Amino acid sequence: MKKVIPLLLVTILLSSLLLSGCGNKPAPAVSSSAPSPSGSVPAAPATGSEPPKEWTPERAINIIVPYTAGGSSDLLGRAIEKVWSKYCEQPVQIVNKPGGGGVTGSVYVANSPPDGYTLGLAYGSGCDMSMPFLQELEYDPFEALDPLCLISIHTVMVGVPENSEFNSLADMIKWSDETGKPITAASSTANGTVDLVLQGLAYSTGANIVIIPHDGTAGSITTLVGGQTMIGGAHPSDFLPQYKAERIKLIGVATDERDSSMPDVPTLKEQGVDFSAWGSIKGVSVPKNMPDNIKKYYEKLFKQICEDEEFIKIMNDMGQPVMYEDIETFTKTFKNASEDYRNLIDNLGLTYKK
Amino acid sequence: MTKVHRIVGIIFTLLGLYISIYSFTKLEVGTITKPGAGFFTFVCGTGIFISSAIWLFLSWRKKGDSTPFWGKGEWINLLLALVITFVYALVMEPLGYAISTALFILLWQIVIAHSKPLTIILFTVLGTGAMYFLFEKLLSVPLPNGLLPW
Amino acid sequence: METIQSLLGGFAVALSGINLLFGFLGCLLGTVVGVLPGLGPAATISLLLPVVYAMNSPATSLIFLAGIFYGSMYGGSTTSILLNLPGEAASVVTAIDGHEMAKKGRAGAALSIAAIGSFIAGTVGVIGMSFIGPPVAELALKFGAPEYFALMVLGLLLAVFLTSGSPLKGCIMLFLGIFLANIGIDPLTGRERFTFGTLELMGGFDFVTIAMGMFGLSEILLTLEKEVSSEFVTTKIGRLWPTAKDWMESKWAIIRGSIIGFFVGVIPGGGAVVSSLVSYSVERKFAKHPEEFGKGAIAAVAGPESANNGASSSSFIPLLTLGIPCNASIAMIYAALLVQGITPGPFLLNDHPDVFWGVIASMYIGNVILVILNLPLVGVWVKLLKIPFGILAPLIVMITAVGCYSLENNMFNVFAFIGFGIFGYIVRKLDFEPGPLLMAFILSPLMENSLRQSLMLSQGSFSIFFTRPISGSFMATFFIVIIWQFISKFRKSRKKGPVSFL
Repeated sequence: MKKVIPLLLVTILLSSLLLSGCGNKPAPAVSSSAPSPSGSVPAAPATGSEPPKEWTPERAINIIVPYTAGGSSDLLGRAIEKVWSKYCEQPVQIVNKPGGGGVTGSVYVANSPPDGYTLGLAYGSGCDMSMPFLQELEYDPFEALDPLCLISIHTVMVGVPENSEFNSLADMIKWSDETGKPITAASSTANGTVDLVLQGLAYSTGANIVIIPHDGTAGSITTLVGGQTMIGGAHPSDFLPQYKAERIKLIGVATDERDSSMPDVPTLKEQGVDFSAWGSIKGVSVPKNMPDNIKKYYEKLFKQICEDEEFIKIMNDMGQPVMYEDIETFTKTFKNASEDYRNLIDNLGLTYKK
Repeated sequence: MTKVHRIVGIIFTLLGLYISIYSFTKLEVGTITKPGAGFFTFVCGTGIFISSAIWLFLSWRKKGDSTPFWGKGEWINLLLALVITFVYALVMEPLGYAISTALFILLWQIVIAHSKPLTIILFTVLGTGAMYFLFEKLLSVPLPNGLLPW
Repeated sequence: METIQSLLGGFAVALSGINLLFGFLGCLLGTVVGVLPGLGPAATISLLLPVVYAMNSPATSLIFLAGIFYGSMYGGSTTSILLNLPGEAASVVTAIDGHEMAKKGRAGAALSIAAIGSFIAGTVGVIGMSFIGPPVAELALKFGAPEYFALMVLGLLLAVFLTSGSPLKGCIMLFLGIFLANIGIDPLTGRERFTFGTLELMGGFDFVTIAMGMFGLSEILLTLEKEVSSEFVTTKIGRLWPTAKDWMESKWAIIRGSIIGFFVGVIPGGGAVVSSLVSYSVERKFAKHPEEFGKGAIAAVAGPESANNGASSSSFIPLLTLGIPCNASIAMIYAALLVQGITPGPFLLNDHPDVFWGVIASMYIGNVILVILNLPLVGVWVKLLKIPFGILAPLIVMITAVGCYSLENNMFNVFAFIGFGIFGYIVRKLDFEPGPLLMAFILSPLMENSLRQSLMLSQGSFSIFFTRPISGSFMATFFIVIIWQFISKFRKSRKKGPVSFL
């Protein structure tokens, strides 16, 4: 008799499970979790058949950063977080979801419901620009996400330890040719945007560069500051503390024009190295099929943030230029950049062949 | 050595073998001077294989100890605990944190702990409530809402 | 002396009303976070950043966040000892002997000595930071990939010797731990390993999931097998305070642990975990009765606890002096500083001395606060063990399940947690120990990356490990320890007859 009761209860539980299973969505559940208890029942997203009305959020918003805390994308998110409350009544929560070079977080955003409460940051980073051409990914940045707006572009800069005998890339290449020794370089992640720039550099100059990838930016900066490698690549905001502390000299930036947040650093082209790349594009992404009125709301919100003086100051102090572009312009920029990366990867012979 | 020892030993050995083979074929092992993605997995697969094989071999020969893995009827509570926990995990999202946790504590106390009715009710309510308060209010940890509006 | 003057100035900052208040709040919150498994200080700090911005005072925010960070170190040891639930990687070693002590009714002594040891270590850490911080940081910079590799290899070797059981079983657990760590995306090539195409596995397993499962859940399952109506701890609860004998055994452990923690903790990446491992092994070598280790030797709690607290203090050194964060929680703090316009690094001392010295002083004060908070609580915690198991068990399962859920807001980790619990239960019944698996899981990624990076740097030559002075000495220690172990086992078998390797 004693054994019947537990069995009965377990059966009840299992049947409740089956009932609830019928209504269960296959996608990882995201919708019901709100980080702040102040939220109420979410507003139903406007469908296409209704006339678009002004949309405002009614509970907290999650911005997903697909990289670790302290990295340049995370810092961008924190800067946004700081001024957010001036322009939006609802609180924002920056959620780090690192992994897979940015894929984990991006897929998370892609699978989220397009109800306006989950946004992605750092759209246009390595996982969107280079990974699709380098390996078999289930993630397609064009299919999975929609661009919303551009906030910043993190260029790739090349630095050397402060006690390095070299002051320019040309000197280094000359030394390498003469001695036959390779130039060791630290990059943050394998085949990320920084890594590709270093590879592209080797390709266009013919120099012998041995790239040592790391498990993220912090590792590569530590390696460079410690003088374990001769040069290192990273975004300006990653280099900034070390640059200000005069532990690192920045000898070049891999873009067509100088980076506005660090105008003292010459471009590679100025030094006679004919190589430039987009760097890491940091835009905001949204899940597919987000209604237009929600998109318009955020487009406007981010424009206000990007024009906010405090935001601009924080960003510049961190070495990140503010470069707002709305949906239309950003979509074009994104496509152009993607094409250029495809070509670069092709030239480097890295294109993944199925 | 008991049957369980043998089964586990065989599983480990086979696992090691599988890992090594997978690393070799599917992942690039590279050479010892230029290791690829599969190098470490290959090494640890081989490590598991060799150490498990040695363990299996050495303990197979020791007849001795044949105490049963589980005593008489001792495993009922164990099994119930696992089933209840498993179901708890399954229903947490659809039913929501509050309901599933309450059910979980309730069931556990009835079925495994055989507590008195007063204790059961008291701790179900207290447990769920306190945890909910702690996690959602104090620490702002997002918890699934399921069927309830909050 | 200028340093002492600055330090006193720092105390003035740290003791000012609002800073003291937030220091206290931070420590309190940190302790709660540390006690709750799954919820790490990094996640909490992340959630509180908006609050921090509103403070508009970098010194206050840093004091608050730092308080959370090392408060969680104190809290993590509490659950390790009481419930065999290491909340943090650095507390795994504490759990081994600490929980054994709790099972013998000596939880009070274990908790007290952990709190006191941590306090002393924290004090040593603060003194160290003030006077020799920058030079030590420079030394840490000399650590390149070969040094990391050698250190990790040494650490893994020490982890195998954590087992009081057979080294063979320890090896199996070790390799399994390495395997589990390899599941996911390989950071150096970007290739997926053993993910079978699933998104959840692409991120790999989290330490918390495995630790909670293999330590916590398996412990509950093992206890369930026995009489359920009893309490978690069946022996009489002994005195709350350590005995004089305990003091004798622990005092050197604490001192050694503090120093080990301070120096090893500065190394970015492996700091606290490796220091607790090193301390455990060192104490075992120095102990008068090494066979007690693994069964509840108090030195095995005092040493590693002091080490991990010393390490958590010194892990601020790279941040404050070099501007390099060395773990996730500190990275959050780094982000918070940058966004408030403060650039951590060598010029922090000159540009914002109030921030720099205020933080160091607040660490000391934080240690005092934490000891005051934790010591009286020891009595409360110990009473916790008297709660009938039938109620305690589901509460533990529930809290750990939520902790696992909160890692990524999905159920995958909860199911994995259950799976590891079952696995842990089975292998523990077969006399395997989960410790080496967890240690290997934590150390393996760094070890693998360092190995491959070193070989890239040296263009394939292994000599790089031996020609560089620091890594050379680690490797030498590694070989010496191995040879020593074999010799002593050989000697033992000659005296007592064949020694079983099982």
